[in-house]
Amino acid sequence: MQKSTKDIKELEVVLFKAGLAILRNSFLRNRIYLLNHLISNAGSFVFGYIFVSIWRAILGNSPESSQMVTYVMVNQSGLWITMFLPYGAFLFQKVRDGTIAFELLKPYGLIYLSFYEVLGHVVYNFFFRYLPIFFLGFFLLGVRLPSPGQIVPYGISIAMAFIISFFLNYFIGLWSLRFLGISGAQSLYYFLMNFLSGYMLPAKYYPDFLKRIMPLTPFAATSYIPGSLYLGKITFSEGITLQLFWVAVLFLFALILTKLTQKKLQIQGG
Amino acid sequence: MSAKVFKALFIASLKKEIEYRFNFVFDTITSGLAVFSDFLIIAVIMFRFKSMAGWSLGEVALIYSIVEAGWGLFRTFGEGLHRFQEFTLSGRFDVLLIRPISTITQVMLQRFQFRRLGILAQAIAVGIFGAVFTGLASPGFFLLYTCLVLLSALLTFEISLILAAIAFWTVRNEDIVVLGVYSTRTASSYPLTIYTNFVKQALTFIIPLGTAAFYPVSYLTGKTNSILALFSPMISFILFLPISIGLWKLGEKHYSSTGT
Repeated sequence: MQKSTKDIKELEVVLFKAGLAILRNSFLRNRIYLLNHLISNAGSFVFGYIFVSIWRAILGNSPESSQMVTYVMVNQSGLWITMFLPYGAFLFQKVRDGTIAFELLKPYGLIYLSFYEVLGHVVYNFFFRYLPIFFLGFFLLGVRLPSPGQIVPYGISIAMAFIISFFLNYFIGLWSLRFLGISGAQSLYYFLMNFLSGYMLPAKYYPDFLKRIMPLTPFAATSYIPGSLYLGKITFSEGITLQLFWVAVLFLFALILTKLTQKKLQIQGG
Repeated sequence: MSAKVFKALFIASLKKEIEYRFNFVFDTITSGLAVFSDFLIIAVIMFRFKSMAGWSLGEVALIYSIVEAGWGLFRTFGEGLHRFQEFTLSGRFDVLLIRPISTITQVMLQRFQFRRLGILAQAIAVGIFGAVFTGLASPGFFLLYTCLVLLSALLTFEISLILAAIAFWTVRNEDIVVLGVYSTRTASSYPLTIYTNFVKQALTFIIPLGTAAFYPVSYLTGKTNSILALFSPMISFILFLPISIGLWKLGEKHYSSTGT
């Protein structure tokens, strides 16, 4: 009995190391395209600037306006962790070239593999996309730094936001396994995230009915909650409870859907 | 001859897309929805605040609609150009060089994406909303609107041609496309007066997508009396045409295959 728990412990360590290796590879694969990413950071900053300009035009020169500038730019930099993840958590690509068949033979689950792969990508994004865009906003648009007390809550919240977003993208991947196409599901994801994540539009500006629904959605948990925590507009326990709830629910869904999808999987040629 | 080739490729693309019928219908609807969400957010904001630097929701809708409808048209017919790096990365561009039809025509004919008509449809819907909301709706207006949408698509084409030409030097151009097309297109979907002067000038003279809708709608809604504003998309299209084709030709001369 004792031996078997020890074996399990060892297996866990091996698996964790495998996860780290996957993470590292995924990070290094990105490094090759650093110059391209710096260019696209400029594009992402311009998007942020457009929304900032819209809010400034609407709110004029008010304290509310400068708060919105910070809110928009913090969320805009965060999009590279909480929204723009690899298409279908890399799954679609693997369906296309057929490597999904080999992935399924590996001794750890599809969710596990995808998670570490995407995490490697996101760690990279944090350094080479999130931080540059954030500091561009800080120097050029007057984004305010967080008050010291908000840094840790915000950090935890953005990590949760990533996990939620990972699951949503993972579902798109499963969809592509099932229907052999991704652009439809990807567009639907974009629509829901754009409209309900609140990355440029906090809950209080939504019309009555949506004002109450929007903050409860998993989409809002990716931008609205971390953005509001950054500004100190909601309490930590309020935000984190919702996020933990969604992490648990989506994880459960992921387990069930992975099982169901694997049964129906069609492997394309390589 | 060119017309025959065009027809054959057109039908082939259509068949390819409707092969997976469910995906086709689903993709068409959702790709329209995805772009529509940009307007939806603005509508929610303006529903509450009424005015964006002196522009009403209906007026912003018109600007947005003309830029986005042009984008939808371009994405339907210009997908080959939009994803031009696929030619330079794979070396497939070599094949186009040995055929007796201009390379631009060939790249344009490579792929039609009918599912992008969803983008066009939502943009036109927003345009009709804007026309009714501003009280401009009339047969004459919609005729003018159609011309402006076509010009907007042509301007998008010119800008994409220049950005595609960059790939002759750099092989990869995906990220420059994102910067040069996506962000300027979004910026041009709103009144240019909300930006700093530098950005406004850049969208007028350097990447002239800003002339597609902002100036003509300014004229139509009585924000300016200068007839020049109405014709600005036409003017920038004509001025920009030799520049964009010239750059493409220059790039083509410089092109050396990646070879495979």
